[in-house]
Amino acid sequence: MAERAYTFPLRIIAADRIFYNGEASSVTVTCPDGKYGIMAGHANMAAAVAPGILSYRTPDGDVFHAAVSDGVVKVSDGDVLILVESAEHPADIDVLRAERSAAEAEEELKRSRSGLEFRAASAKLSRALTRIKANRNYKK
Amino acid sequence: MSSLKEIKERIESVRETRKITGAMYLISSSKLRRARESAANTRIYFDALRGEIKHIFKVSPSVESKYVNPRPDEIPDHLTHACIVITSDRGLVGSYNKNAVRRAEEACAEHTHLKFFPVGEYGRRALLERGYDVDEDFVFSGENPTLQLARKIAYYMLRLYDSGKIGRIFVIYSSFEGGAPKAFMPRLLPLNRTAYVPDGEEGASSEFEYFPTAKDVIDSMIPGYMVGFIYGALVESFSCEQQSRMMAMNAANRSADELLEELTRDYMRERQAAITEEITEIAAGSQPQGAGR
Repeated sequence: MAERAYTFPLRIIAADRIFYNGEASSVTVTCPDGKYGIMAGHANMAAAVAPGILSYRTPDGDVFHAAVSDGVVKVSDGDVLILVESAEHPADIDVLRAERSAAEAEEELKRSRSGLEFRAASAKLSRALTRIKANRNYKK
Repeated sequence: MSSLKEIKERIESVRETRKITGAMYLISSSKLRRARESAANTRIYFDALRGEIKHIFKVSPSVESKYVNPRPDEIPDHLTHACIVITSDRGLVGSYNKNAVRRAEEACAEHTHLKFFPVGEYGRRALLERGYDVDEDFVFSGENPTLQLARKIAYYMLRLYDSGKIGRIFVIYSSFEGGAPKAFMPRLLPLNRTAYVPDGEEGASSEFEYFPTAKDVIDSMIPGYMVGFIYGALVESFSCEQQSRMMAMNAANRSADELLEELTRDYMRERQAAITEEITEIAAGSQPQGAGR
């Protein structure tokens, strides 16, 4: 039971719903410069979250995954708060739609003439690829 | 005096209209309920996000980002500023649309170059008719305020902002206050430091680390902030539109009821008069016969 003692309150809030609100023993998010893991007793900090896979472990030892968009993670006095614009369970992702969106983005990437268009298209592409990956690798 | 048939037709037509306004009232009230429910969840997200932005300004007051106002509050006013105007697609909503358009006109007097990004057909037409600068590619309907719609609008605006084509982004939305629609015009971007952290409240927080930097954290929150803000404004305006329509329809229903009462009375009086006249005629007609018998 010693393992159970090291948990922390985790809240994952997406724009349209509260994705998770409860205890967790660890959480991993994708940051602009790589994956970032947080466990109980982490120092106070805030970090940017890049589109990617988020994983969290509940006190029972189950691991859950989610595809998330841009956002921010904050640790303050042991509480972990993750704010993302969208969060989806891998099983809820419509792969066909994501693939279509990825194909569109690739097309836009080729056509893009300005840096602006390029950035928009590559952001779209990374969002779509994240969702496809989440569905493929973590679907239960 | 109009004839019986005419009054009867009039009553029928008022009744039909009464049915339509009654139905519109009910539709608006159910739309209002739905919009409120979906807005409740986003509210939590948006409030938390604002809390974080405030926290960053508090901990590192000197953070610099293109999304944050340089201090003191100065942006060259020769830049074009953008203004999103939220109205409904259709009329019959009392003063809801007119208030929003009036606010837009006032805003034009305050800023030298203002470009409008109307959501909703009414606003689009009204602003074009008045000869204002309206973005041609920006065509969105305000009928269905979803997160997807807010996302599209937010990214459209962010793209313009990032390219430096617009200096500030405002949004005109309406809220139902004190029994009447009221238009507001807050600034979306750049963020106003002093609005988040009033003077004297700075530096109160403990040590905090930012990865990679405070600027990056703010920048990564901006899309979510834009989406949340715009979604909130869309839903607030939509709720306001429904409330205004309910009020207008309620008034229409009451007038229709009054009119119906009046018309029914007229109808009864006419009918009574017709019967009396008939009896009189019959009585008058029967008398000579009776006298002759």
